[in-house]
Amino acid sequence: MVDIQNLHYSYKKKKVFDGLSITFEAGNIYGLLGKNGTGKSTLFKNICGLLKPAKGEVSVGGQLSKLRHPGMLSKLFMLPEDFFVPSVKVKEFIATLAPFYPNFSYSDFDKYILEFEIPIDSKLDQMSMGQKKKALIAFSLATNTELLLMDEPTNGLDIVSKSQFKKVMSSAISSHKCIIISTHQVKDIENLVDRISVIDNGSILFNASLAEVGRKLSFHQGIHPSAKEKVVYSEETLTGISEVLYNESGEESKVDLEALYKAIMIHPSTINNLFNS
Amino acid sequence: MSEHLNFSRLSLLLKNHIVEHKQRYLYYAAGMFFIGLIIMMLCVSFNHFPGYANIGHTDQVSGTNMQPTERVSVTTWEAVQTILYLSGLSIFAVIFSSVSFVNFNNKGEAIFYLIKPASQLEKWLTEIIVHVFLFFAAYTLIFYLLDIPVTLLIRSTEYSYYLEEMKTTDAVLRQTRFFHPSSFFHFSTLSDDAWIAYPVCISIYLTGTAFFMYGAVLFNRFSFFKTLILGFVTAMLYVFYSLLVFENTMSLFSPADWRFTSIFRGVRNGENFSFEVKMADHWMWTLIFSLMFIVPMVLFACSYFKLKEKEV
Repeated sequence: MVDIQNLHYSYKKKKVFDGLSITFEAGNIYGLLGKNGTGKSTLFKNICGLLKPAKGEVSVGGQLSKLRHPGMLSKLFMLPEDFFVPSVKVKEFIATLAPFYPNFSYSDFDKYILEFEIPIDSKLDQMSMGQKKKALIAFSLATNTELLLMDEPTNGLDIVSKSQFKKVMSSAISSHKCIIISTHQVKDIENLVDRISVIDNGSILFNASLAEVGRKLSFHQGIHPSAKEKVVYSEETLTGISEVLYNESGEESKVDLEALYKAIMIHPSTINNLFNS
Repeated sequence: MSEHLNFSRLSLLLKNHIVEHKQRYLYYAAGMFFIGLIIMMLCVSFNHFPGYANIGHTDQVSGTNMQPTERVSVTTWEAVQTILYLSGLSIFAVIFSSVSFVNFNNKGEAIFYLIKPASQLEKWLTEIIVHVFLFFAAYTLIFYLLDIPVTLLIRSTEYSYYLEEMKTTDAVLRQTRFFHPSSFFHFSTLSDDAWIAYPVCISIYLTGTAFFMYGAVLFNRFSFFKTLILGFVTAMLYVFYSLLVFENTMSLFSPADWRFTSIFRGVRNGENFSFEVKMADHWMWTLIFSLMFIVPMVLFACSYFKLKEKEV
């Protein structure tokens, strides 16, 4: 779906990507993680063609992103972190924007709007921040585009809305869609994503499916520490000790995304050796 | 071809553009209406249009006896209408074109705009259609919404004045342009010297629109003021180049007895030995032609290529 080869991109003085290569396949929900300023949003913009790579190629569905051809643009939708809604009613928004997306489903949109409790006769710009975001999430899912990019989609959502988000997202998964969610709030995408990609220093630090993570690592919360040789990463928490261990049982464990992310950031070589072996 | 230009997608984009920006455009139209209303009222209040005062009397300047159907060269309401129409067109067009590509003022809005599944050519054409053609139609409509009642008001007042004070007969007045369509549609009523106002104002309208549209896509924030400064600097460079570099360089390569004429020339004003700065005729026409056709086309093309390369 998305093919990024040898991507080089710099802002005026800051180098962001230096030969980054990664592919994102249809039928998956990717969690894109990384520290602030590592280039998650820049990667999204390169995928959409909003930024043009200095070197390398980014293509969506076989079409070069930088050309911004309508055929390529109709295959994707991006929900940016600093999103915008026009000063129109939800109905008008749908009536004038949905025709650009050939697979837009009005029934799906009604379903999501109902789930998110969005007033359809209200003007978008007069809604609360959370409602605006939910309206855009509903629209983005109803477009049924092959690629959906969501940058911090749960920012500004309250606890109820976050669970609504998870529910709606789970119902929107299909084999022809590729969804990439960039977030700092890893708890919000737990049980939702099936692959994790971590960016650091302009390159991909980690990229694996959660199934593979669950097979190779196990996650433990307790009071007593495990034997040192079994531990990849451990951290004291308010409730005891959170540990990432080598999975020696052979059974797939439930992944604690937050602990995994910390383990990757603190012991990248240990994790990569384990996953590349 | 359909990747770059598809008419059904273009019409969709145009509809989407108008729906999303209708509030802004309605405010702008209301602003034009009220500013136009105030200016027209001021013109009516402060000006006496003496053109028809000469009907049936000897003209003080030329000594000719004015016939009802004769045109008079003094300022008439038609001339004022033309000046208002053309100057308003130029000024409002420039201000309106500064809100073209308004989506680039805000990062989120710019992303929303650029990821819409339409080609850059279609997005650019939408801006041209709205800011050049639809603006022209809307401006003209608003102008005549104001102009027709104001003209009727002026004509009715003058009509009563001639009937009652000047004892002019209704039959004579009927032969004049009192209620003739040309009273409202005034495009052929300027004097011979003043018709140059048309190409000048249209060139300002087209070049101004194209220049500010280019500025709007070039700059992300405060594009109007940045474009204004860019325009001033460009104009200064043009004058500097013409006066100091171009003229002197050309004089070096010209025969000794042949003086190359610069853009501006000093003209001795009678016995006063005073000078006024006038643009040489051939330079003026070159400039008007360039500003009407070549410069707008180049600037519109620049805004298209800048849009294609625009990064957010």
